Amino acid sequence: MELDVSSEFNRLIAAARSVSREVGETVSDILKRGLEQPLAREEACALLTRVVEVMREGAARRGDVQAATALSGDMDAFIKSVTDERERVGALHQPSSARPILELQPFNGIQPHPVRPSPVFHEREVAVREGFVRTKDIQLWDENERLDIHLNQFRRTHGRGPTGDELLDIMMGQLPLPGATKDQFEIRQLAQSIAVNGVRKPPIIDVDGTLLDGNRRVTACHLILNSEEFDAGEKRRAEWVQVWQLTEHATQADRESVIVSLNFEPDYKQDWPEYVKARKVHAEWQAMLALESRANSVRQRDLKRQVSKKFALGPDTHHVTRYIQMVELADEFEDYHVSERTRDRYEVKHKAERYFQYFDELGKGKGAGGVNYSLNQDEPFKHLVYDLLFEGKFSNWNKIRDLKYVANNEEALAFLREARDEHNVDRAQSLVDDGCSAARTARAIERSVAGNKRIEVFVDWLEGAPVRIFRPGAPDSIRPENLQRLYRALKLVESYLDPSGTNESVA
Amino acid sequence: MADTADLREESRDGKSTAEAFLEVARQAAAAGRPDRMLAALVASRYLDGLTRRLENDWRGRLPRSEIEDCVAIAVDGAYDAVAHGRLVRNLGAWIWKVASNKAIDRWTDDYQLRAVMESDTLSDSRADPEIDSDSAQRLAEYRAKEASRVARLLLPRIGQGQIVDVMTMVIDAVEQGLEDLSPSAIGETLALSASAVRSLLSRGFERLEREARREGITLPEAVPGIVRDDDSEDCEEL
Repeated sequence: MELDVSSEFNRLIAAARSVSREVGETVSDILKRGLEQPLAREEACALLTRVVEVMREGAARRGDVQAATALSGDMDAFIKSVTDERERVGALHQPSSARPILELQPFNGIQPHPVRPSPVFHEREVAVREGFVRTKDIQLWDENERLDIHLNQFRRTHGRGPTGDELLDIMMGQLPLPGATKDQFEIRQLAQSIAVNGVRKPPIIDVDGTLLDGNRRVTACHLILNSEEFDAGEKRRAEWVQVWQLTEHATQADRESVIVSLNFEPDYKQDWPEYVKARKVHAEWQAMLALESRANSVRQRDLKRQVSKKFALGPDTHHVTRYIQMVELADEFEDYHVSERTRDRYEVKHKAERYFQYFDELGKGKGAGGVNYSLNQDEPFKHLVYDLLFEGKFSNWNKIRDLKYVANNEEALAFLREARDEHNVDRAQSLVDDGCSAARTARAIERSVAGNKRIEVFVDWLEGAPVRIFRPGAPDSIRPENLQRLYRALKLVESYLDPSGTNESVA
Repeated sequence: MADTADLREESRDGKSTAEAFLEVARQAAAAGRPDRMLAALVASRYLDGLTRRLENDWRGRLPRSEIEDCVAIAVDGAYDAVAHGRLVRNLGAWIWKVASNKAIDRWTDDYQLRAVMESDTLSDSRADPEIDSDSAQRLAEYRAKEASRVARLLLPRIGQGQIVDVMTMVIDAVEQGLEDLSPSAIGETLALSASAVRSLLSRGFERLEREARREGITLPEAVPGIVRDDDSEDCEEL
């Protein structure tokens, strides 16, 4: 051979030997070492930091945008969450001791039975039985990662773990823990759904009744049972829960497969967009109104309550009212673009869906000076806003709130008109931002300048006004709501006055 | 080899928890989610065990920082391979092979450097300053291709049928940059048992090296200090 390829040939043979080497036993050994001699937390953090650094460099070098984005967050927070999870999983490896068995019960004529075919959790068939248990007999899983911070906080405060009832209170946000928000796990909302539909996806319990999956659902059932907000029928739906239970032959690997499958693997379920939900609610509302076209305001409130209950939106009518208003504005937006701008109906619908949350803001402020009021006072202004919304030229929904200042500010309006004509969306968004800033600034100046003169003019007018204009029903009389506003304003003025009678100290 | 009876006891009817997490990690990588892959890898404690194993194998020769680098490079390489659709059947095996090969490379480079320093002379094989890095890269690629070509030329001389099929598959795997193609994986493709593939591999490598020597290719010099303790587990005596 003319070319000396010995060294490369040797490398090839070494690589070929390495590639084809069976290392199953080595991998098992590594896993065993990992469980028996885990790295200390600091060591694990240092290693993970190095791995993330190398992976970030690798992603950048390869131009792998997806990987780079996934690793671009706060490294310390990521490492902390991952190492916390590692410790939790380590605890799950502990062998289970002998445990009492929670017997499944028949309910409504349905006898406990094996689930056939056996469900598969993370590529593993796990035998389970289906049946009913009383909600109160199920033990919440106190190693649930969701509760990690709360449980550690509780242990630090009380020097012990929480009892079953305390765990329930933590889940429901009823146990005050500094920093924890109320109903963080959104149990109330889930309870409203369960009260209407029952528990649709069976929680999974171990042989002793410990929950492996379904902490939120079972907590919501407890809430229904203990709250006066729910009636007897709804409580009955929550008293017994249909569950899947592992058999006494279940191995630790079965338990882990259930937990891995349900906590690590996404289920790809996607909620309906709010646009779709709101349209369903609106259609139901319209159908009810069609049957009772003469319903007065009290009856309408009652109808809205029925709609709210039907769609599991809670006992009050707030969500239904909000949805109805948003859909009505979205309809107006769609009609404008289809009829006046002759755009494709479905293109317009896609836009309405994409920017549906903006209609919530556009519907706020019906009184003088509010956003909705300003739009309804000036049709060209409303159309300008709809054009900007269609083109995605509002950088965020906060800009909608500034529209009430923009409406009467010619300079700001000029910015918005220029934004409508601008083809580059980024530049258009900057123009809208500038217009909103200009209007806000002008408003701030307007509010702080010439206060004394304004008050003098107003007080002179008020003191000279004839008494009859304050009498209800008289021609040119002051409207009651304006009188109320004046009264509130004067009370506010009173709070600014110095108690000694002079206003020297008024800031 | 450490006793793995406990793990096998727990997973006698299927995968162990840790193996399940390794599979989750592989799926996360396939979905382009390196963050989830890392979370599952850490949860499996595989990185703990890998670090401990490498520390044990390379005690006194590679510092901890070098071990961590090897692990990090292996994890990154495994992510890249899975995310870009390469055949990775066993993520743990892939990471182990890359990490242990990296450790060998680092030690070898270090050994060569020390050898040079001790002899106080520059080896002819070291980079020629006249040759820029691009040229060096092209030369290395050319040599690698030439080595593969030579190996393929020699394959008909080692036998016929299955032995050639198995060795061809392994050389293909190296050329494609695969890090792990176990005998069982080869067996599945060629409808052979894993033990038959192991025998064919053992015989194939032996005959390929014999034919290479006949063509004047010199055998590798052993680098003192490297112990490949898992070589013996795979190659059956014929």
